[in-house]
Order: sequence, then structure tokens, then C-alpha cells
Amino acid sequence: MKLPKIDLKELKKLKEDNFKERLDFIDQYTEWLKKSPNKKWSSQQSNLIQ
Amino acid sequence: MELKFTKEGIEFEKQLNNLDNFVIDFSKVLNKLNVKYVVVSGYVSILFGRNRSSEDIDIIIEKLTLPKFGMLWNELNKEFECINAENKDSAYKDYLLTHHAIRFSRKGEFIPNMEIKFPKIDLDDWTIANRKEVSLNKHQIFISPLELQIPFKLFLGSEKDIEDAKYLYKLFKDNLNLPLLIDFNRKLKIEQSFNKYLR
Repeated sequence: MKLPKIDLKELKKLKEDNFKERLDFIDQYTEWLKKSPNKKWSSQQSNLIQ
Repeated sequence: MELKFTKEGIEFEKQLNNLDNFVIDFSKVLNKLNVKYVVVSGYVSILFGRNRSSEDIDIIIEKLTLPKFGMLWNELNKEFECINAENKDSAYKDYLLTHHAIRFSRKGEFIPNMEIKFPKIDLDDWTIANRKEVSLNKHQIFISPLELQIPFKLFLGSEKDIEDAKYLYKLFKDNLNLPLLIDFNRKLKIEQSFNKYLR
């Protein structure tokens, strides 16, 4: 089987970009969380973690 | 998010998840026996709403004598079981005194489990001495001060740890003792990570 070309530099950049996106999402989520009643965010969290 | 900051710590109410209930039930035993402890793991960020789960919760408990540990062992075994040590003596001598963790889960289950250690380094003793009380739906839980928890997560340095650190910092930055946090950043030599990821 012929394997695809793998560019480790490109993969490393992809990994860094994904991580940055997750960190940016934390900014958005914490802003939403601060404005949301406990009942609202915790019921969503509870559905996920059960 | 509705949090009440008090002299002792933080009070709030939320819909409890499976992990919250596990921590509350376990903490009840420690509180009942007046064992000083502090939750130091990723659970701290989950407690305050981070949407991820964890298979273990790390707790440091004050160093106990064997008789006092025996009382704790007996009380815990009413509802939980130790999943890695055979018996009380082995748990104490082969694990805790040699700075290895013992793990307790609910009976018949394996996860989640509570990973318990005695203090090993000065930082552990400091954490217990300066622990913060969280009143969660009127249940008492003690956590590591966030001014240490955040820098320490950065020090650990995995992507998950950095995300936890960022999450806690963004949520609490207006209520933190920033000089203390900055001191820990300096001592742990993570100022660069702090400025890169959390600012």
C-alpha cells in the first residue's frame, strides 16, 4: 500500500492551530458562562458528564 | 454564573453531575473525621463548569497516624473500596508513607476514583494550609488556592492542563490575588507560558 506523503512540519502547525482554536473557544465559553445562570450551564454540563 | 465569594472561599449551587456527587460523598467522610485535605486536580475546573470529564480526582490529605488512617479506612469502606492496595496496613505503609497514591472508587466500580496521597513536598503542605472552602449546594469541599492551581497547571504543561489553567484564569481573574499568582508564576518559571496562553 502506498502511504500518503507526511509533512511533520505541516502536522505540527496543524496541531498548534487546533490548540489555539480550543484556547480561543475557552475565551468564548467563559464569557458565555459568566452571563449564564448556574441552572442553565450546569444542566448542560450534567448532561455531558453523566 | 452566580458565585458568592466569602472570607472562607466560594459558595454556589448547580445541577450536580456524576463526578460532583462522587466528590461530595467522598468529602463527607473526610469532613466527618476532620481530615484536612485538598482537591488539586482537573476536577477543580470541572467543579466550576468546564465541560470535560476525568477518571480520577487527585486529593492530598494531611499526613495521618496509622490509627487515624485506620479510622478513615474503615469509614471509607462503608461506601467505597480501595482498588489498588490489599489492606489498611499495606495502603498506609507500602503506598502512602512511600508517597504512592491509593485509589478509592465506589464499591464494584473502577472509575471515577479518588487518588489520595500524603504531602510530599513543601508545596503540598502549603496547599493544605491555604486550602479554600467551596460550598457546593451546601456541601463542603476544599480545593487548592486558584493562585497556585492555575500556575501549577501551566507548569504541568500538557494541552489539557493549559486549557484548564486558561479556563480558571478567565473565569476568576477579577477575584484572584494576582500578586500571589504572579509570585507562583515566577517560582515555577512559567511566566512565558502565562503570557503566551492566558493573557
